[in-house]
Parts: sequence; structure tokens; C-alpha cells
Amino acid sequence: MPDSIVEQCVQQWKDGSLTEQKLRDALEHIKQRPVQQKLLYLFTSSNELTSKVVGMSMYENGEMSDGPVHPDDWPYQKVTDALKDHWSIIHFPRAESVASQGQRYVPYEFILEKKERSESK
Amino acid sequence: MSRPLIVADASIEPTMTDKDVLEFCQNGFVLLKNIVPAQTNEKVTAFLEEHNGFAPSELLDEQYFVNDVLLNSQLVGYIRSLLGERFALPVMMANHRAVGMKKGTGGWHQDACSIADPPSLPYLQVFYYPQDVTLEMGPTAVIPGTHLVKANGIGHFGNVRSQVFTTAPAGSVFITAYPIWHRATEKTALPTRNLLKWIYWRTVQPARDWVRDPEFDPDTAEYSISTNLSLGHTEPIQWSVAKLFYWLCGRASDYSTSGGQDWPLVTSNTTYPNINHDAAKQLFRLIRSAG
Repeated sequence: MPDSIVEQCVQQWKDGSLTEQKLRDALEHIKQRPVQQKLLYLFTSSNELTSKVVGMSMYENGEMSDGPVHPDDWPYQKVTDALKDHWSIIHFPRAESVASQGQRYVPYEFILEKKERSESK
Repeated sequence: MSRPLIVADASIEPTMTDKDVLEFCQNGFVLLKNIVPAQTNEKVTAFLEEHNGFAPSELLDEQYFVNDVLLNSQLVGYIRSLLGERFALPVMMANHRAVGMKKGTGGWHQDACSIADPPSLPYLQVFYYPQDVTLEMGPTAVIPGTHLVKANGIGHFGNVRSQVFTTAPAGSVFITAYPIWHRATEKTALPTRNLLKWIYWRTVQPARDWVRDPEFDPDTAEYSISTNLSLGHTEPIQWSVAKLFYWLCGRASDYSTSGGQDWPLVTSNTTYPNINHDAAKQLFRLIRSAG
């Protein structure tokens, strides 16, 4: 989505009304916009980056989301797909002890973040 | 005042076969569609309008409910197969009643005090929809195979690849192994959705007294999960399936594996013939004595 302040500056440049001060004001406004953190939880079948995503959830714009119901519609099928889309891993799944503790869930979970500046009002 | 325990008649016959029981061990649930008569569904729905709390146990005193739902002729064949004869009827009733729309899903969870490992089946948790439940009505979602896996920290999962939505027509019942992972889903439709649930109890020791398939051999059956439980777990899932099946056969103490290419193997994707259980035990004794 085009940044509205940038579009404003482009329009002002085109019509000849852009000044140095207006440009500096626009840049200052952009710098002061709050940075929002988005979180992406990817549950995988192993702790390898290339393992298949078997579940997901997401936190963005202040809300949790389960993602699309059908796996084919999920935004990423592997962790590496999300990395290519500029997500950063902030939590790696931990290696589990092989000592037998019965049949229990092993949390192969990658947590990724993306930081974006919010749009101006 | 506590409710007296009522035990089902010993004349009820099992209807599940070896293959059906094995499939239940693999999936942890079975859905029986449209088995309760429409008239009963309507009566139950009307009753629940008057008794709209979380625990309408007064329903257990309604003879039509006992006859048509709790002792439904199709349902009891399954209950008898899985819990043995003279299973006990529920002593209380719960209703997950959703009125109007309900935004958001519940967290995934395993019900309180679940024992997924070592696997056993001392009771069954059964759910009944007296009205149609489409995806918009917020059906319960389950993950097949998870009844065998101790859960920890799963509440934050969103959608999961192998999840199943229990959408079903009115009069449907689904039988579950108590520890199966499940959650409520979002309800975008307005009509009220009732979801009654109760527990049947085992009163006898397990034994392989369901309908036997002449060609079925527990020692060479396929114990892996066809839906491919892809969430991480500590032990091969076919071990847990085999343990539960052997428990149900009354042979829990016979179960053993030495790992590796030993029984229970996944037979469909190996170049080695599946090793018979008794043969595997003999081999293991040989290896130990040679060691």
C-alpha cells in the first residue's frame, strides 16, 4: 500500500509546490510514526527451517488470528518462505531430550516478527 | 443428592469390528451421523430452551432421552464395543450452549486430568448435536491422533493442518477418547447451538470381545495413523496406537518393542517385511543372550 505522506510529496513535486521544509517535515512525521510489531507463530513437524508448517497463528494490528482454515491458503508452507518475505525469527524450537517421558507433544514452534511503521491518519 | 449408577444391559451386542476399533485407536474419535430421530432432537432442543444452563442433568430423568439418545440402538453398539459389556450410563450432563454469534475460537486443549500416556480407555466422552451444525454454527474441532499425546502449551495454536471440524446434521453423535485435543470454533450464524456431552464408564476389564475379523491379525496390523499426525511428539505414534489396541484386547502386559526395525512397524513404507510380534520377542531374546 503506498505511503500516503510519500504520495503527497510526489504530488507536490509534480505540481511544483514541494519545498525543502515540506520535505523535511514529511520525513520527520514518518520517523515519529509508532513501530508496530507483528508476530507469526509457525508450528512445524521438526526443528528444521525447511520442515512443513503444520499449524499457524498470527498477531497483527492488536488482534490474534488463526490464519486461513485451509492449509493451502496459509501464507507460508515452510519457515524459509516466511524468511524470504522478510520475517525474522525471534524464537527457535528447543531440542528435546531423548529420554523417554512417555508420548508427549514436542513444541516445534518458530516465532517470527516483522516490524512496520503504522500508516499516518 | 447423587444420581444412582445405571448400568447398561448385558444383552447389548458390540457392532465394531477389529478394523473399526483399530481406527478408533488411531483417530481417537468416531462420528455417527444422524442417528437420533428428528422428533427426539426437537424435544431435546425444546427442553434445553427451558433448562438452558451449563449442566441440564434433569435430561437424564427424561425416558425418551435415555431410550433414544443414551441407549440409541446404533450408538450403544459402539459403546459396548469400546467399553465392554454393562457399561455405566452418565451421572451428569453438560451443555456447551452458544446463543447468537460468537467471535473468536476457544484455545486448543486437552480436558482436565487427561491421561494420554500410557493409553487406556476407562471411559468415553460423547457429544451430541440436537440441531444441524454447519461450519457457521461453531462446530468443535478435533485433531485426530492427539488422544495419545500429552499436551503442554497448545492453547495458542491457530488452524492446524490435520484438524477436523465436527460439522454434522441434527441427531449426530461423536464418540471421543477423553484426552483428544479439541477446541470451540467461531460461530458466525445466529441460531442457538446446543452441544450436549456426557461420559459412559467402563465396569469390566477390557477384552477383545467386539466383532472379530477372521483375516485381522493384531500382530501384523497397520498401527500408524493414516491422517499423519504431523505435530511433534516424542515416540513413534504407531507404538501408542498399538499399546492402546493391546490394552483394549486385555493384553497390555504383552506389549513390548525393542525399537528399530521391530514391531510395530509402519508396514506401508518399508522395504522390510513386518516382523511378527512373537518373532520379534524371540529375536530380542537371541540378541540379548548373544550380547
